[in-house]
Amino acid sequence: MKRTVFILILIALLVLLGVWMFVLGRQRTIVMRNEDIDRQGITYEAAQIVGISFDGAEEKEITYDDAAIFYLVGSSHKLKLRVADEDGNTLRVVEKTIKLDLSKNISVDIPELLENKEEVIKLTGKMW
Amino acid sequence: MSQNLTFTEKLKNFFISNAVPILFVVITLLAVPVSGFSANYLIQEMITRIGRNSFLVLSLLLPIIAGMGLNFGMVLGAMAGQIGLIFITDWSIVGIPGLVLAMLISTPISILLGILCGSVLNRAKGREMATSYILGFFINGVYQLVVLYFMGGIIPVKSPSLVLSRGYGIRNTVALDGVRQVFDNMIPLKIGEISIPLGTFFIIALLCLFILWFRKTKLGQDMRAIAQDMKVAQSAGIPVDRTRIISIVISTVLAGYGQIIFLQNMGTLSTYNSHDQTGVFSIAAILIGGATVSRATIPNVFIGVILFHMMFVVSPMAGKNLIGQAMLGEYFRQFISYGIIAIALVLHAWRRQKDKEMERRSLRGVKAEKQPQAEK
Amino acid sequence: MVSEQVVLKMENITKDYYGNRVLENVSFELKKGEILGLIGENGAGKSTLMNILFGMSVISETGGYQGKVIIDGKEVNFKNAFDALDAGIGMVHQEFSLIPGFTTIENIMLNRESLKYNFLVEVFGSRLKTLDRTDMKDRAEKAISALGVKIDPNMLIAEMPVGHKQFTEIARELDRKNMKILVLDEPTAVLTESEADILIQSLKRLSDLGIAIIFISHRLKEIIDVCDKILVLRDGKTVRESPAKETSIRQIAQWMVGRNIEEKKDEVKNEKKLGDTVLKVENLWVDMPGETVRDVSFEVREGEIFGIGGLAGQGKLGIPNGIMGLYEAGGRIEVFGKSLEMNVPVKALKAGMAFVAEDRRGVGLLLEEPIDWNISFTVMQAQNKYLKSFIGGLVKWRDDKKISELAKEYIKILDIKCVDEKQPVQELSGGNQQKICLAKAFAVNPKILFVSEPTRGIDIGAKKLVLDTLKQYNQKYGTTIIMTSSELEELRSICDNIAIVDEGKVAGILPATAATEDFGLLMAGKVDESKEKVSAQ
Repeated sequence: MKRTVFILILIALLVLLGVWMFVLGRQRTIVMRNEDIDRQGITYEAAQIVGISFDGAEEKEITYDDAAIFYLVGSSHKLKLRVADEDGNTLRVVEKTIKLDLSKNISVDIPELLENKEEVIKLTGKMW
Repeated sequence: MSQNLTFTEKLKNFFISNAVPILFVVITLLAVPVSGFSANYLIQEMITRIGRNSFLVLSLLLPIIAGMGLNFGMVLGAMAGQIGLIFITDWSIVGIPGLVLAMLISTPISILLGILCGSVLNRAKGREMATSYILGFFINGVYQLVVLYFMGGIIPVKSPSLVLSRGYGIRNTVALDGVRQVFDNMIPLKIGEISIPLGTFFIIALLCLFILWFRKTKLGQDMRAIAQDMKVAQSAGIPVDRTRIISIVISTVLAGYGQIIFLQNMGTLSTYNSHDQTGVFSIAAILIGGATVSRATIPNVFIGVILFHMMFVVSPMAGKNLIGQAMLGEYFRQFISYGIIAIALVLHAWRRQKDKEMERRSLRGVKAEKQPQAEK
Repeated sequence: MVSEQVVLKMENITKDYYGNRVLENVSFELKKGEILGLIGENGAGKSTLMNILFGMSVISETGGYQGKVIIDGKEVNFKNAFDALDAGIGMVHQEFSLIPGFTTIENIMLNRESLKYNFLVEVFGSRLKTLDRTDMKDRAEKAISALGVKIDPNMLIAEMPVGHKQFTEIARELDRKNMKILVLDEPTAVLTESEADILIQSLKRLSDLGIAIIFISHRLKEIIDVCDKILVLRDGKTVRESPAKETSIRQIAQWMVGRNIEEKKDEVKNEKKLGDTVLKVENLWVDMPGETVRDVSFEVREGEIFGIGGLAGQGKLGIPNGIMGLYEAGGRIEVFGKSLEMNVPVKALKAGMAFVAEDRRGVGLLLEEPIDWNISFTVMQAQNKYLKSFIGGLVKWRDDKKISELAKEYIKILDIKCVDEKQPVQELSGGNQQKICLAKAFAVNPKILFVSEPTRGIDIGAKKLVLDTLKQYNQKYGTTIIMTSSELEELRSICDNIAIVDEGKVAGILPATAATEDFGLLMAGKVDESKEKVSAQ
């Protein structure tokens, strides 16, 4: 009887460990898109050049109407966006903390992100 | 009895009982110079391969301790491990958490398969090896059914990179990018040119400790007793069948983990073939290491892995340099793998018969007279 | 030291196996520290009695038993051997029940090891406790010293002399906490004399410790030496229960073999003239499992019917099997003055010997084949008879016509009940199958015929027929017959001389007319008293 309880506890612990591993090891595929979008009649214009860097890694530069893919593990990340004009002159640098849920595929529109004034941004996407 | 042997007798005994490893040392020593590989290269290869294969080979120990011979049924565990890896790839769980999760997923599958295998083997006492070999083929069929038809259909697997374009079934090869060599590089260490998969070695060391400890438990003692005489063990009240199942279950679970470790090093999973030769190669390795069907130790495992894989690495090149055909090496390695298993099985049968004869011989007249008297 | 406290009482035990009564109203009681000698021939019911005491599954599977088993005043009914062990009954079987690759300690402690706790036990069960080797050693040494012997606790069983193995087994039973009754089944059978003496001493010590012992042995001297009380069984009935002091070996032997001591004496024996020695066996050993022959020498003369008797497992069956080359054997055999190459069955056949095996279903007969094939099989193999040769003997075919004729002849002579000679042998009754075996051997025209247990498993009427057939064949053709049988009376009824085999050796050779109790003494391993008779012969 006592043993059954212990076995159940062990199984519960293993399941929890599994869930924890899932959360800990989940890799999100993030597509950063730099294109004009319409939201409720308002048009957000995309910048000519955007430099994207997560967690201080090397910057990836994309141009107007382009997109880049990032693989991120873990839920909280530092995002640094560098907006530049056609000639490559930096116009502004935006730093934000983004929080990811467990979604596997997340798509982000950079213009919308830039408009968002909040310091911490929660992102979600498709689970599979 | 064994104390008063002369030195030459001891030496002779040593050579007889270690004939197989010695033979392979000789073959390897001859083949290494012919192959023309550098020492650095060979050392690196050996270290990699010890990391890659030892865990799998170690999983064979428990059934041997329990007297069930070489567990060809370990491929069942290998399949369970692969199923775990398919899932974590689909869920894109990467890094060490990914591997741990794959192990967690494989465990219940391995346990079920192990119970199945153990129950079947209990009905085939004395013919465990052939039975488990054939059972491996049978479960391979079930595995293919599950992976080729159910996954992506009944069992949700969504990633387009995994599922065949027809909508169900897993592709022939699965890239394990997210977990490639993460155990190996967990604790990075490089000595000169040679990188050492310290993380994997650490896990293997843990398993060795587990086995050493396990042999000291009541369960381990029961297994040793069963291995020697099932009837006596039974009449002493040891639950023979249950214990045998447990040994197979543990072996299967460990084989599952072993396959995960093997594949994280390889970095790609060949969905329908990776497990195929796991059993045969692991068994050949442990036999070359000097183990027999009824006796195996941890040193046998490591010696075996080194010798077997040294031959693996060296023989294609040696074959090419000698005869101009690399295929010869491939042929040679298959030939050796199956040949060594066949020899081991024949030797085992022969030795068992000899032992029985020796046992009865002691009952004969002439010797009965010479028996030592009981001490007062 | 026998106290008055009764630990075991068996009352009116009766047991049938499929209508065959093997035990009838057997009762006895055993007091604390008492040693009871249980004596009887094979099949007297000793094992059945012990199986009942032990709750062996054979008993319940065959319909249980009648009567009561009372331990410490309470009636018990064990469902299996483990219940009996829990109740404090220990048994040391005739065959060792030891793990060869384990040390003495490990064997004594088998499945009762001292264990140490660790937390994994809570999840995975108590079998994950680790062994406490120090404590195991202490306990084992205590058990060994209770026996008053010295055994190396760390020696492997496989490397031990037999005597030590036996002590290890007893020590194992002693280690049980509530050991009250110890049953020893032929514990001295495998021991040398001095080892047996030590064992007897040990048993006395144990009885002083208050353990009651049931001692089964066919060595009557030991029984007299060690037991307080004896119980003699014959044909499932208690023949005698008596204090050991009031009996003698001769008396017990008589009780044991017992039946019809006077009966056969009046039968007139034809004065037979025996010829020269045709078979001479010297220092024969045979490696036949369960019937090991260690050192056997005897001579058989032409025209003699020579009987080999003795208890089961003592080696009598090994002798013909060894001579015929069916089991690995050594020593020297001379047939008609010529030395015989051993371990080659064909040579034995060619030397003019034939063998009717005890196991007619296994070795003796091809059950699915017709009668005529069975009869002619050996002749064809050994003597190339009943074969048609083609192309200068390169190809040989059976001569079916002659084979049929041969079979018809024997069916007539031996009065084999069958449809015709083409009937498959498995359809015949046991007695008729046995006759086929004999016909098969007769067909070879052997000069020396070995017959093993010819009457085993056939009914009384058929027994007589088979025995008569042998006797007539011997008289008619002067064939020398060597017959092995467990039934002494059967041997005495047709044999001229009878050798009794005990522990793989010839205990003595007596003329069939010798007194029953002399045979009993030989079977009981009591060589000295009957030696004079052997030499007088």
